[in-house]
Amino acid sequence: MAEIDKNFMTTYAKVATHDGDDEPIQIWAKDADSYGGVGTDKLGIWGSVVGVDFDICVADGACVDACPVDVFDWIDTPNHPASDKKAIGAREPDCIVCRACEEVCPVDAILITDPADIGSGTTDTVIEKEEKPAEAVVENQTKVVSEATSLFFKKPNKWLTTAKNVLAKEELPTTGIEKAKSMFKNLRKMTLDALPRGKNYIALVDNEKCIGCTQCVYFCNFASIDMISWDLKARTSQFESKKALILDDTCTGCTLCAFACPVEAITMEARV
Amino acid sequence: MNRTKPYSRTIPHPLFERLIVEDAMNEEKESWKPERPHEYGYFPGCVDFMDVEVKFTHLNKGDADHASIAAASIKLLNYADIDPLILDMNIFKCSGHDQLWQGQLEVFDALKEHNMRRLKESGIKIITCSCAECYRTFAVDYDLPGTLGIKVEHITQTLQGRGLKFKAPEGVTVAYHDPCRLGRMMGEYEAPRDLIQLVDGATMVELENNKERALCCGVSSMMYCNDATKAVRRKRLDQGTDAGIDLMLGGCPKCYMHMQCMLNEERMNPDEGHHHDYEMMDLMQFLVACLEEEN
Repeated sequence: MAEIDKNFMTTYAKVATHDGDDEPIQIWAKDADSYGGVGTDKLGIWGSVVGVDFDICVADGACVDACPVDVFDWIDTPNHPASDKKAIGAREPDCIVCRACEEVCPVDAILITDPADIGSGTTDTVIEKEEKPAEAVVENQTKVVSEATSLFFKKPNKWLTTAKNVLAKEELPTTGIEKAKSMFKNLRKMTLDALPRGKNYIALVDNEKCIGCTQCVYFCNFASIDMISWDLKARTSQFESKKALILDDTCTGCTLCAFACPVEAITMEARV
Repeated sequence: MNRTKPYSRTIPHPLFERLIVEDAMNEEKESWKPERPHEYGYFPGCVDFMDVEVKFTHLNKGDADHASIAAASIKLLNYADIDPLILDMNIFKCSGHDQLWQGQLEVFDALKEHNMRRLKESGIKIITCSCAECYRTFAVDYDLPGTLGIKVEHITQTLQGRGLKFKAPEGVTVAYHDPCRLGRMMGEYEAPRDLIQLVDGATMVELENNKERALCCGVSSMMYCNDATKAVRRKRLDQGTDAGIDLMLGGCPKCYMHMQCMLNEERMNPDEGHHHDYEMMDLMQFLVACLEEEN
């Protein structure tokens, strides 16, 4: 299966726009003939910062779940062979370029481009060449993560799969997952409003406060946090365990770890 | 978001506990009435809140799915010809077990007040829970039999002795891990074991420490997870390897969560050399997987 064209902003043409929540969403296609509009099988790439190739998207929903800032919405696209609905980046200006959706997409239909790179990349080909190594780094990193986690998928729990198949046969009442999801997103939104974020910021851990609970490790999308045993002096009197250490080369300043930390030991600081 | 409460310095709050506190402090005044009267009520507990956190973090690189415990329980209750009123989180709130045991008494009181009011409005005679912690909280801390005259049951007790039949799709060796709230606190050891005996094709073995001497999953009431609690959990998982099991079954979603988390973590760090070649499941999920052959 094909994946999204990494250079679509230079090789594709702008063919139409679609209403987003705040700003209109740019639609890109190879040429005017390869875009047929909603209801046909030719849809092209939707969005600039959050580029989703609708011809590849299979409406898996992983990106909708993964997005920490609730950028995605569903849009109905009848008569499309891949799926009859697509994930649209309706709140594109909210994107914090954490690339969680890129990583989880099962068909590689999403490409996130930093808003700061867009203006220069489309007009100047020299800068566009400089962009390529940055994308390669992201690709490598994604591969490392998938290798580390592929172990999980080697041996799926067949008993749980059987149970889920039995449960899927019947429409059983839900017990509050929608309420839980919206509460989670509200909490996340509050954190985002309260903290500075983006690539000019980095998360820092206060060793005096860190209790070594590893919540941040599980939340980080970029395997950017390690647990380190410091010498005894660095440990707090109350808790003797490993401390979180954030690696500055892969931290994207997405604030997820600060959100997850139960003791407010992580703060966002400007990069120097 | 107010996180600067005095207890937050000493007791870590995973996100889903923050969600429950947020939920508890939203006061709801309007009354509610079920569409029709029910004898049984089924309380799923906070499995959906757990799921939101587990799915968002990388804990879900395994395939843990807590919401399926609630769905499985409803399906099994229907299979036993019981039509329960679903006391879901849209109408009810968390039972407040963790908050009580962590000492957040004002949060617990808010949750209890809301749930007691809703239970009075629901008109049910028996409440059944798939979570051992909810079971204990309703029976002892809410004292539902004494205050509202509602009988409290764990779902294994509800399903016990109803002539259910199960057949495992293939031969499997299982062991039952006693949750502390169901076993040592409420003294129920036999109901879940009787249910496992009903499964044709499943061999039940006992772990080295069982019943009243069972080992803990290590993170009672979400208090803390560190190297020491992980050591307890690893000891428990080692007993499973020693007994040669294919599946470890629990009666509490928290046991499932913590054990599966440990199994996933071990698989994520294979170079550390700890490995357990079996899976943790909730008893309800296992029974539903064994239902297929019957239908």
